[in-house]
Amino acid sequence: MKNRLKELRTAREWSQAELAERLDVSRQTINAIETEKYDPSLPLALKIGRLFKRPVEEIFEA
Amino acid sequence: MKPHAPAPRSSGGLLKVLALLQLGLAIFRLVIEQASWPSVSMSIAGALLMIFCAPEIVNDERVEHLKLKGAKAGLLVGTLVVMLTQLGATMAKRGPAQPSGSGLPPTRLPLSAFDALSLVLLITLGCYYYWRWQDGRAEAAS
Repeated sequence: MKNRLKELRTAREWSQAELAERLDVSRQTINAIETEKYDPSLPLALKIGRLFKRPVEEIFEA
Repeated sequence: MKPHAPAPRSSGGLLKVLALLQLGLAIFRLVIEQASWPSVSMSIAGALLMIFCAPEIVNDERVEHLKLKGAKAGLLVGTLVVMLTQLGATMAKRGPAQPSGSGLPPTRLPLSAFDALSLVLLITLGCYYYWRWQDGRAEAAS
């Protein structure tokens, strides 16, 4: 699944570690999502949406 | 939601240290004390199971996903290897065709249940740590 996580993160000048800490996940998980190796669960996707103040479908697209 | 809350931490490291000690002790007993393999294989299987069940420092959904994926690969490959080993041992002992009615004597399994469990867990943990390492490596590159 394509996503704009890296774009949104770099726009805020956050490192993967910083974003991981804000989302209560590991840095590896953030990297796996950014490189599209892993699709996050619905709760995590919603958490990402809330953190960036954007709807989930704007961040993730099938 | 607490956006700045620290990531969940766990005490899985202690369990892993204990498991590694148990693994080291089992190998010591096998090599130095010449202990019997069945007693050692039980300890090895137990230690590997402890490593597999020990939570990571940040035990998130990706960890659970990779562990499940690794367990699926381990069960598939491990079971296949055990079946092929058993088949090979049976074929090697069969020899020339026997007249009907003369049942073959029961043969001892080449791998015990603990050996099979250890094999499955070794493959599972190998896959899991390889994928986890790949996640970390790609992260460093990006």
